[in-house]
Amino acid sequence: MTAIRRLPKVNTRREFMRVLEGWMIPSGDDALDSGEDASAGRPTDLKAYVLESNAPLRRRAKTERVRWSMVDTGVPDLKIMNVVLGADTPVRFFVDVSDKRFITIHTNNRAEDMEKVVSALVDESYGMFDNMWMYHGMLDHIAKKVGSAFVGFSMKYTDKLLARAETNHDASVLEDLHINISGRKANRLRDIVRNDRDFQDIMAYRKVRIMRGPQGDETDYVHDDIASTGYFAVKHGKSVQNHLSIVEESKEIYSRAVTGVEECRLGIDKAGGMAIAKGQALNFTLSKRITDIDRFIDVVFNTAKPFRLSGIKSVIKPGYYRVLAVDLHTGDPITFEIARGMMRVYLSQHSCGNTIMRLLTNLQSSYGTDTRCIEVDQIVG
Amino acid sequence: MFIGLCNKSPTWPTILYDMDYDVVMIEEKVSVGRHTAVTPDLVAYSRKHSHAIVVDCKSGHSIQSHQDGSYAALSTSDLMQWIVAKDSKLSGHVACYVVNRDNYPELAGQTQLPFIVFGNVVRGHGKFGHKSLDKALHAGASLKGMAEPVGYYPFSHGEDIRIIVPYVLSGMTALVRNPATRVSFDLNCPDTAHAILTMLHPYHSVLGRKEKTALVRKIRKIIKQLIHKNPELAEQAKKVQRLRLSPHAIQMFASVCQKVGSDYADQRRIDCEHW
Repeated sequence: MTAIRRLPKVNTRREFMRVLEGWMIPSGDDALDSGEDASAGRPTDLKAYVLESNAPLRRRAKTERVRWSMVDTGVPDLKIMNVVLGADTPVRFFVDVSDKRFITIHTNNRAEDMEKVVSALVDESYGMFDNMWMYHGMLDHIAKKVGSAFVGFSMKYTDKLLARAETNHDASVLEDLHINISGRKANRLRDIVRNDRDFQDIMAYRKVRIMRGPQGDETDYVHDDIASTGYFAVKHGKSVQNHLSIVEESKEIYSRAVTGVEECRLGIDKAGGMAIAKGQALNFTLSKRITDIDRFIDVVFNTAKPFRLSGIKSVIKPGYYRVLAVDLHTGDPITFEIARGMMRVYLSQHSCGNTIMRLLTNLQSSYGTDTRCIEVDQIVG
Repeated sequence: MFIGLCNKSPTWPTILYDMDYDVVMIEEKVSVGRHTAVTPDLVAYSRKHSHAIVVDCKSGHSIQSHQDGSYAALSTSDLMQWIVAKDSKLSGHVACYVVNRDNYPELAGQTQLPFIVFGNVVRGHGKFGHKSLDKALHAGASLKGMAEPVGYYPFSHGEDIRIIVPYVLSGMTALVRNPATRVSFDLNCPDTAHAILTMLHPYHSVLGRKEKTALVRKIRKIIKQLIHKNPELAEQAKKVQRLRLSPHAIQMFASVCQKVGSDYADQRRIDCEHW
C-alpha cells in the first residue's frame, strides 16, 4: 500500500467538485486497463466505486482482516472513510452516502490499493457491502445513452462452467479470451466479434469506455471506463460534471433493476385488508443447453467467489434439479430450479436483488453472453 | 404447480393469472355452517370476477366422503369473511380437486366436484361456477416440454421427511450466516425451528395455526436427528461463532450442509405433492 495521504478539507459541494477536478489528470495512455495488474500503473486517475449497501452504514467496524472508520466533512452526506487492511497503511477516500442503498467512493488512490480495499469491504463486512454488478446488456445500454459515445471495450471470458472432460476432447471450445481496445477501431472490432457465430456468445463486456461531452476543450468532455463491477475511472478529459453524471445515471439504471427484481420476492401482501400471496419466479434463459447439469450446479453453488452461493441440490426428475441456495453475501435463502436450457429463481422475503445482478453478470462472463433474465430485461428495457 | 398458474410467467401457463386470480389462503381452516370445517390447501380469489377457487390437492387414490361432503356444503358466505376486504366482494366460488393425470380416473368416480388435472396438459373437468373460468380451464394449456414450478410452496407438514431435510439444512446455513438472528449458532435451541420456517416459507405468516405448529415440530425433530447423526454440524456452527463470522468458517459450514444434503439428492416424484 502507498503512504497515507491527507484529503483536502471540503465544506461545500463546490469545493468538493474542485477537489475532484484537480484529481482529473489525463495520462494520454489510450489502452483500457486490462485487469487488476495493469491498473496498478495508473495512480492518479479520478475513480468512483459504487457499492451496494445492505444495512445501515456503521461509522466504525472491525473484522478479521479490515477495520474502518468514517468522519464527517463539512458537506452533508459526504464522509471521509479511513480503511486499514491488516498491518497495511490506512487508505482514505471520500464516500457519498446521499443514496443510502448505493454509496459512491470518490478517490484518486492507486487502483491497486483500491481494488484490495473494495474487495476487503465486500468480503468482510458481514454482508453490508457488495459490488454493483453491471451485466453485459446493462453496460451496452449505458454506452448507448444519449449524449455518450462508445470509444472502447474490454472483454474477459473464462469458461468455468463447461465440463473439463468435454473441453479436453474438443479443441474448438474456447476456454479463455481477453480483448482490450479503445479508440476509433473499437466499434469495428465489437461488430466483428458480435457478428461472428463462434464469438458472439462469449462477448460479455468487462468494461466499456464511453465519451461524454463535446470533443475539443478538455474541460468539456470526459472518457470514462465503466467496469462490470461498478468501477468508473476517468481516462481522458477534465469535465467532472460529465464524469459524475455517468456515475449517477448508471446508478439510477442499476437501482431500478435491483428494486424491480426485489418486487418479485415471494411473500404475503397484507395491504387493503386482504392477505395475498405476492411475488413471482425470475426466469433465466441460458445461452446454450447445459450438457452437464451436475457440474454446472457444482461450480455455481460452490460457496466461492464470484457467485458466492451455497446450495443443496436435489433431482426433481431426470434433467431437472432444485437447488436450495443461500446467498453467502447476505445470508438469505434462494430457491433455484434448473433444467438444461432454463433456470427459475425464487427470492425469499428479504433477498437482495443484487444477488440476481451478480449471478447474471457472472453467468454472462463465464457461461454465455446470451444468458438472460427475462424480468431484468423488461425492467431495464 | 397450481400457484404457478396464478403467477406471471414466460415458462408456465398463466390461465388463472390472466383472470386476475391471486392466492389468498393457504392451509387455513374454514368453518362450513355451524358443525363442520374444511382446511383447503389453497384458496385463489379474483377481485375482477368476484369469484374464488377452493383447492384441495390430492396425491393419493381416494377421497374421504366426509371431507368431500364438507367441500360440497361450503357456501360463498362461509368463505366471504375470510378473504374479502371492505372494497371488494365475492359473488361465487367453486371447490375443486387438483390432481395428477395418473390419479384422475380413479378419483373422478368418487365425487361430483370438478377437477384440475396436470399431465401433458393442464385442464379443468367439470363445472367451475363461472363462465370465463369454465372456458379457460376446459380449453386447458399444454405443459409439454415445460419444467413445473415447484418453488412457490416449499413444503407442508405432511411432506416426506426427505423433502424437508434439504430445506432445513439450507435454513441452517442461512441462520449461521445471518448475524441478525439470535439463534444463529445454537442449532438445537427451540427457536431455531421457528426461525427456519420464517426464513424459508414465504407464506408462513398466513399459514393456519395448526399447520404452523405441526411444521415447527417437524423441523425441530429433523434438526435433532441431523445433529445427532452429523455432530460436525453443531461443531462447525460454534466455530463460525468463535471466529466471528469468518467467511472461511461460513464456507466450511455451508460445505458440511451440502455434504449432508447430498444424501437427500434424489427426490424424483411423479405424484407431484408440491402443488
